[in-house]
Amino acid sequence: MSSVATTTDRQGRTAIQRERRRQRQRQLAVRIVLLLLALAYALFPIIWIASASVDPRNSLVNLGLIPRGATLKNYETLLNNSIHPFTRWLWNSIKVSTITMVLSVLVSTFAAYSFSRFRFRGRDATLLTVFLIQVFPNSLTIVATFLLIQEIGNYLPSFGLNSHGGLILVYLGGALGINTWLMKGFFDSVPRDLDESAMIDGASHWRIFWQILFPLVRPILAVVGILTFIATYNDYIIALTLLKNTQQQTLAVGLNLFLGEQFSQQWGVFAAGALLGALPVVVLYLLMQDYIVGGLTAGAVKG
Amino acid sequence: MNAVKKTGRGSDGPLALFSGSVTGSLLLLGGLALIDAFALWFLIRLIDDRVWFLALAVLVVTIGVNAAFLSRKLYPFRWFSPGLSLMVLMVAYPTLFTIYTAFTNYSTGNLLNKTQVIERIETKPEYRYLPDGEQYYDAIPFRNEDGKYLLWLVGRSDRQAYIVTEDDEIEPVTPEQAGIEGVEWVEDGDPPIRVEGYEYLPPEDAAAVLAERDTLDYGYPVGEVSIRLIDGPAEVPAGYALDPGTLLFVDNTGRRPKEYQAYLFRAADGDDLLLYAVDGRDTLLARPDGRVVINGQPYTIGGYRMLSNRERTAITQVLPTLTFGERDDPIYIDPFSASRAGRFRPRFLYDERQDAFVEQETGAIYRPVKGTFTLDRASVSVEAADELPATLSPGYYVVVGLDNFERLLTDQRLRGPFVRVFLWTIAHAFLTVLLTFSLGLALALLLNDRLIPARKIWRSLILIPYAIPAFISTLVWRGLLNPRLGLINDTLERIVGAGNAPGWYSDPMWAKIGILLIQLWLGFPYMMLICTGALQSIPQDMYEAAQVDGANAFQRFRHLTLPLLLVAVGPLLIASFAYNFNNFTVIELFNEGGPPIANSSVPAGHTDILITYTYEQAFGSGGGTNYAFASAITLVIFLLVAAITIFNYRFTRSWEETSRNV
Repeated sequence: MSSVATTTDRQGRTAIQRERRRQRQRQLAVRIVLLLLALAYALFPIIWIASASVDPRNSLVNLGLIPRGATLKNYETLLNNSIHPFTRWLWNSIKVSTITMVLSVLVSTFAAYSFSRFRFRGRDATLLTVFLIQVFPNSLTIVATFLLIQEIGNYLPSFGLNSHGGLILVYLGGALGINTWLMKGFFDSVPRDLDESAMIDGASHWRIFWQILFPLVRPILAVVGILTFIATYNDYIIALTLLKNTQQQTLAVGLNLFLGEQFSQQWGVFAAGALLGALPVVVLYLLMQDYIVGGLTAGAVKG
Repeated sequence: MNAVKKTGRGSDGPLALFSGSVTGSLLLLGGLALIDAFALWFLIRLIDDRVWFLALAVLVVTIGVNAAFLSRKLYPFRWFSPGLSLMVLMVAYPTLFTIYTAFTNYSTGNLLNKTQVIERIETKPEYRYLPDGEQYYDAIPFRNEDGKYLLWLVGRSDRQAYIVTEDDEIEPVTPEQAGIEGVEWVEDGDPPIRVEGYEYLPPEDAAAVLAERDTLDYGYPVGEVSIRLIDGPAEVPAGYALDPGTLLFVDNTGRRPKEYQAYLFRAADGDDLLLYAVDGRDTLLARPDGRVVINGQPYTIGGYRMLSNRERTAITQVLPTLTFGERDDPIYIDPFSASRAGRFRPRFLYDERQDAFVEQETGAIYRPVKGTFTLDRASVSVEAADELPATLSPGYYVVVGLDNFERLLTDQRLRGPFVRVFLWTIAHAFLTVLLTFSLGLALALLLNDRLIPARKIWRSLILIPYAIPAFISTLVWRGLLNPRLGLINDTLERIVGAGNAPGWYSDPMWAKIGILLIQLWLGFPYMMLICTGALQSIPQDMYEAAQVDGANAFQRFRHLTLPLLLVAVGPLLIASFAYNFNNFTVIELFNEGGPPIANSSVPAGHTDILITYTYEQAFGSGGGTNYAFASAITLVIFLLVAAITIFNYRFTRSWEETSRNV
């Protein structure tokens, strides 16, 4: 294709330009067709599940991309289900993710501030440890974690098995490494002159942290927070291991439970649940796309 | 926090905390005191229960937090203290515990520690015997409102009736307890009994007395056992006839209503009525104070009530665990026959000096072998040894060295499936990255053209699969790939004919392809995102230079774009590889690692990756819980992830540099 430029050299400028433009347009058309194909691939499962959620037959049998009729009955069934409390699961997921997000950001911001602003003995060793723990996902030690939470529950039931307290504790431990690591980088990018001049004015570290640095890194905190929220919301293995009580379960565990018991007969209701369950995260992604991409490429990996 | 802010700056005294102000210091000291008090309470309880590892972790955290807040030199660690505490408790502790567990036999049958196991074996109902010279008792359980039990015992040798409770020693039954004080049986008499202090009412007198009353209520508490007198045809239950010559009534002591020949007695000094009723072989004596005796057997004793058959069946597991009578001379229910009791004694007693259990009848010795007390056949005759159990259960957990790893290497039926799982883990992660990266890069290249209208919208729409939580997408794909009903096979069958579409659930190869299809859909938008970023960072003048040198589009891609791109996204690709190495969600939710590998000694499936395989060993429904073996495999995964990370670290030298490049 690119050889056109060299071979048509002798035939005058306008011809070359016209040829080039035609070439460009053809190329563009091909690109757009390919992109449309990619888009179809990306969206067909979503269209299919959306169609299932409004299809009045509530079944997997002969389900196409276009629903045969439209009804909100599946959504109604979903929201008024006492055996499979969807709204409860959704609320549990949002609650646990939000608390984890806030605490995790707070704890790792403190740590990152210290790493970034103090030079002390043991700093390198601590930094290395933080680096190492963010390499190994805490789902790896799930057996030991399960036994730990079980043991804690013998003394403090609100942090034991089947409790959101225990679950959040595990999530906090898991998010700690990567978040501290990311945050330290952001703190490093804030010039030290700022807090040094405040220090000369007699401000304590506590004041410097809250009144000078914290406002400056707030946008970054939002990104780290959202990534933590999404990672927590999406977790399956830890919630599956720690939560056995239906009322306490998060969406990831509950939705599978729902599907496992009544696979093809309740597909429409499941579809409604899938769409509603995905909604909070998808909206977050699309709204915060530009921020999140920055955070993702810095190392928070999924998929 | 507000208080601290308002007080403003202060001097850095010896107790200089966050703000340096007095209020701040006091607040902080108070907080620290609270934390310490809580930690102390927790520690005492942990040490009390001998939970050493956790106690150590809590101790380390507490000392660390105190040091950080009380020492000025450790000021920077104050900021870490919440994070470090979490790290020690939720990361370091589980990691160390995993390593420890990998070298133990911590699994079903060996879940307790040695002290607990010794106690368990000595008190285990099944491990009791009846010493020579002791008699068996026929036992009938009673229960009071507090849930405490009483046994009515009849000695098989001495034919004597006794009662015994959980609190009191065994005693022969008194006539009052049996409800038969003052009662004398008259052979072939009418009435068949005489009762001291009561006067028999012949039927005509009884009818006159009863004409004034509707029912007679007996039982303890009253109403629990009520005996209703039927005094008119309307009250006769279906199937019963009213005989004018006799009194009829029904009882509701858990039996069907039935007809008795009734005899009424009136107290000599009052109106109280005593009732004696006979029906073939059943007799029933109801006293005015509520006591009821059925077939010579009191229905209630003190506050205790006899259990019905159904109630008895429900507690057959519980009864043998209870201790009746005196602590040092207890009576137990036989665990193998709930209607039998006796002065059972522990068959196996632990001898601390020998560190072994001694069987009490034969003197056989059970020595600990890797956490299980095992019969030492040399300690007893061959005939006796064949009668005795070879091992005592439960066992306790103990360090067994490399056993778990050895098993992995030597057990053929374990090693074969494990190697398959291992290879698929790597293939799955590698192919996932390769496929998602290829498609993602292709789309990034397609979109990397300024002439395409509304590029941001294209990108946002293609991003959606990535934004949807994987646990939802995987379940949706499980429906799409349903072999009989799913959209994909529905469509395929129209092309290849019914019955020829792939078995995504049952066929190992198609199940693997199915998972890769799901992974491709889940992951390609992420790859497109990072490739787009990397492409934009490649300087445009390099392309111009290449064009001048006469490189064609493919050459430019092969020699310029790809190498530069790989340098930029390489670490992210490796990180994605490491992530998918442990991608539990997709595989567990799609098919739990199925279909199963035949002839495997532990549960394993064709699409299991190491983490789902591990999970199945620890928590699976199939083969019990084997925490030790699961931990051993976790160590293998640890090593692999570490290797990948070291490779990645070498590849990039540092994370910070690459994130700047992208």
